[in-house]
Formats: sequence, C-alpha cells, structure tokens
Amino acid sequence: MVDTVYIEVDVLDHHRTQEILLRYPKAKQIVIEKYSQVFNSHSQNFRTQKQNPALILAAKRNKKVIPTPIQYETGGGANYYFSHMLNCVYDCRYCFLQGMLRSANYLLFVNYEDFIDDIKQVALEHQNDGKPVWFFSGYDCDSLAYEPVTKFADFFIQQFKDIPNAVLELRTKSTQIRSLINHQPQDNVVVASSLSPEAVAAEVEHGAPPVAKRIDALKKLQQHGWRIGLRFDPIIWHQEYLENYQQMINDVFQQLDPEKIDSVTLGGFRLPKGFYKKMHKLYPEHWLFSAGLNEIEGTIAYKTEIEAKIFNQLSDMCLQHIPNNKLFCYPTGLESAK
Amino acid sequence: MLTFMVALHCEAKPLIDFYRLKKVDQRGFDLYRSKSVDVELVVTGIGALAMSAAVGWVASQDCPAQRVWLNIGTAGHADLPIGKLLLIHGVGDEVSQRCHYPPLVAKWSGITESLLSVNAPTSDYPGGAAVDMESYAFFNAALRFSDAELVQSVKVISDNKQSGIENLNAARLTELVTPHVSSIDEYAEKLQALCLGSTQEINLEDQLDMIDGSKMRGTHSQRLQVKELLHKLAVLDESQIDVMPQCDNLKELILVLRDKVDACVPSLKNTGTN
Repeated sequence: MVDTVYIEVDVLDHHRTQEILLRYPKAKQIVIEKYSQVFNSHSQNFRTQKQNPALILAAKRNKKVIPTPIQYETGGGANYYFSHMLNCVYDCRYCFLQGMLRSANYLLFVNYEDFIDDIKQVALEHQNDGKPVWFFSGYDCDSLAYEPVTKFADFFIQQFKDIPNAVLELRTKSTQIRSLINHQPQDNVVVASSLSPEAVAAEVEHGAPPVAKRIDALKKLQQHGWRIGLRFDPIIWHQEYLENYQQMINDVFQQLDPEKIDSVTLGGFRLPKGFYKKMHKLYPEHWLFSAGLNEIEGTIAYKTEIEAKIFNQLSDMCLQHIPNNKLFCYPTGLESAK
Repeated sequence: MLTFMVALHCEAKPLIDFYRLKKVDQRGFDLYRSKSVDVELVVTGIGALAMSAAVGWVASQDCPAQRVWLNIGTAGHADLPIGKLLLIHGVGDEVSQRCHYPPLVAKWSGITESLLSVNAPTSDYPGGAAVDMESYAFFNAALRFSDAELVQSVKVISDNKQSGIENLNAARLTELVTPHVSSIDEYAEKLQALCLGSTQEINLEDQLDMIDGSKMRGTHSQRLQVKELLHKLAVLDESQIDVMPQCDNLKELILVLRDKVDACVPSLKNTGTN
C-alpha cells in the first residue's frame, strides 16, 4: 500500500490524477513542482526506498517514444519502446532499474494522451515500411502489475485500434489480466510474459506472482484470443539450471497452444558495467552478481562458454515445441546461439 | 548509530533523560552518548552555520557504515496548534530558495508538513509551512554522510499567529518536547530498522589482515583485486575463504582465487539470499 503520493502541480487537476488519488484516501499528498525534486535526487538509496516506495504522479515532457537497441526485435519492422512508468511493484534482483535509478519510488506519467500522440506520429513515419512498427511497453516498469491503479492497458489497447500499422507489446510478469479479458482481442496487441523456473523466481523475483499463476493467466489470455509471447529472459545460470528450465519449458508448452504463440525470446543475464557496479554495491551479499560473469565490451554478462552452452540447450528445448522462425535469441557475447 | 541533532539544550533535555545519555568530554559541541545503545545527541546551537558545523563535527568523530540522523526541535506555524508534532516532508531555504524532500520510507503515523528555514527569529509565518532556523542546513550537511532516507527532521510547534514567540523560554520548550519523546523514539526505531534492510557488507578483515601480515607482496591494485575475489568467494562458498592459499605474491594469489571463483556454481538449493 502506498502511503505517500507526490503530485506535480501541473497534473494536480488531471482527471487521471484525481482517479488515482481516490484509490489512496489515507495517503499523504505532497504537491511538488517537478518530479525530479523527489525522484532520483542526490543520496537516495534504491534498496532502502524499495522497503516502502512512494507514488509520484507527473507529466512526461520530453521524448516519449525511443528506438530499441538495434539487436532487439521479434520479427516486426521498426522497434520502439516507451515508458508510462518508471519502477515496478516487484523486486527482481536482476532488474537493471536498480542500477539505472537511485530511487525506487513509482513514477507514473499520467499524460497518456501525449504518449499516444507521439506513438501515432512515429507510426505515421513508418506507414510505408511494409511491416508493422512495434512499440514495446514494460521495460522500465511492468506493463500490467499496477493496472488496477494506472488503467494503462485499458487505455492504450483501445488507442491502438486506431493505429493499424502499429503493434503494442505489453511485457509483464503480472496476472492482472482483467482489463484484457474485458476487451475483445486485438491483432495488434501482444502480451509477452517473462518466465523463469519456479526455483529461480522464488530466489530472485521477489513479489512477482508464482510462475504457475503466470502460465495460467497466459492460458486464459490465449483462450480468449490474445496474441501471447514468452520471454525467457534473463536466463539465470545455476547448478540445477538444466532440469529447472527443462521443467518450466515443458510446463509452458503443455499448457499453452504452441501454434498460437507469437514469439519466444531467450536472453542472458547482462547489464551495462555501470549498472552492474551499482547493483553489486546495493546487494554485495547476493550470489547473482558473483557467479560466472565477466565483462564483454562494457557489458557484464555470463562468460561466453557458459552463455553459449545455456543458449544452445534452451534453444533446443524450445525448438521441440515451436518453429525456428518464432524463436529469437539475445546472447551477449555470441553472434548466434542457434 | 542514531544521531540526534538538536539546536538547544532545553529541547534536547527530554531526549537526554529518555535515553539516559551521558555528556562526553569533547571540545567543540556538547555531545551526549548512551552506554548500552548506539545513540548520541549533539546540542548544535542556533542557526544554519552552527548546525552545519555540528553535523560535520560529529560525523568526523566516527564513521559508522549506517547512521540515522534525526533533527529534533521546535518550529513556528501560522495555524497549527501549539505542541503539535510534525514530520517534515519538504524543507526550503529562505536565502538560497532551494528545497529538499526527504524520502519518507519509515512509517510515520502523525501529520507531515513542509518547513521554511529562515536566518533570524520571525513572527511572519509563510502559508502552510512551519518555520525554523536549522532544518535546511541540517539536511544539506547530513546528506553528505548518510542516505537521504535516513536523514529526517521532526518538529514540535512552539508558536503560531495566536501565540507568538514572546512567551517562549527554555522551560516552555522542554515542556513542549517532553510528551513526544516516545513517538520520536518509535520513529527513530523505524528509521534504524531501514538500515537492517539495506546493504550488508561482508567482513573480510581477517583475511586481508592475514595477507598484509604475510610475505606476499603486490601493488595496491592487486590488493583490491584480491579483496574483490575474496568477496565473491565468500558469497559463493564461504568455506573457501577459511584457509588462505599460500602463494609467493599477490599476482599468484589472484590467479588461485580466480580459479576458485570460476569453479563455483551457485546452487538454488543452498541459497537463502534476498
């Protein structure tokens, strides 16, 4: 439960601000000039703040839609990402946000309409590409985890109806699928769920729903007609990884219809060196930051031989259920793992 | 470590009594410490300069890994009743026009308020904010030594529009702070609990002392590499650092430790980390 809400004075009267505040009648409301006064300011400690994050309601003023890193694609045309929110209700130990930000407060940009204007503009620039342009959500937050408060998916799904050459990918670990179930499935929306073996999730994905429940939510979405994607990312190397990932992949493909799966991606645990150093300093006692890693051109990732082995084994496991053209791998130190 | 910073002795007295603090014979500022608990209190004197100097002074006495800084004092406010206890959620400086919002991570059940720090006693109360003479300087200085979440200010309202500053004296200020000591203590405990949930350093002093006392020679950079590798080993398999490998120099030790780290594969069956 959020007990402090900071509100930028400019969005005080915004209808979305007012709706959200109604959900937290007991929270302290503190009006601020700009979110940067309370978010990421000097001396803040991400790990300490994560014990009781505040909510910040603000407006995103600068660039809202950003091209993805070059290698990231799932079979579409141009790829962009956008973040209506920074930070997440979950506390995954591998999350790069711990290294990128000093603040763990939830920063929610309530001016969704401005995001949509920018998305429409970008889509217009790509209208003659021949392939749809993809917009990824859920990299700086979880797309659905805070849905009862933000109504993010509820709003954006409807808006994407009017952008036929665009696809919206909602990256999530959440089981908050009510707003999706309440909508008719749309061809240009994909729900991509991040999955790890249960033992890994219990160890490093604190606060996230159990993997079995995530799979169950995916099953419901698939049965309802939504396009779904599977994201085995980041893959966490440990002694029992082979059995654990085999078990999870078997479970997933037994419960879901592989033919209706949009894409599957594999990604290694990797971080920019600066992020890694900050995260290691925050959690010096955690094994995740000490095992099997080295630096490759400014990125900390598993050693090439470890990563190659993992990717080959997990690719083979996935290819028993889906065709090659649905599997996308993002290794750090390899040209291709397949 | 919990450090109270209080401008006046009369404001500090209820805390000194509550924690049974004893005066330490030190030159500079009046410093009080507890015998059994990690609590200390500094009487800083009035104003920003005194507060800044006191924060720097006490921080230089010792440097604990985590220190909670709590500024306790009295403040004026236009409308709030005399004796009301406040947690400060935002502080501005009259001179520089700068502000700071302390992150409110520890739970506080009372009211919170913004505060303006001014240079001289005043009977003018800015709308909606408390007024004092030290808080901004306190935050500005203490943030150099601790995380922002651990630096907080709690005030008791001593004067307002109806009852100005004319009737305030030392006895009255003590009387105003006294009923709130247990609430302050409760909040201080919550702040200290935040430290327990934050970074826990791994102690490698014994191993590093052993290396420093051995015949192994090397550069400062090699010593840092050894420390980093020992840290990784301690995290992955604590038993590996019980016996230090015997090597001719640090360069050789680094190779041995690196091999040991590379051989460690974490097992989820054994971990209990967060």
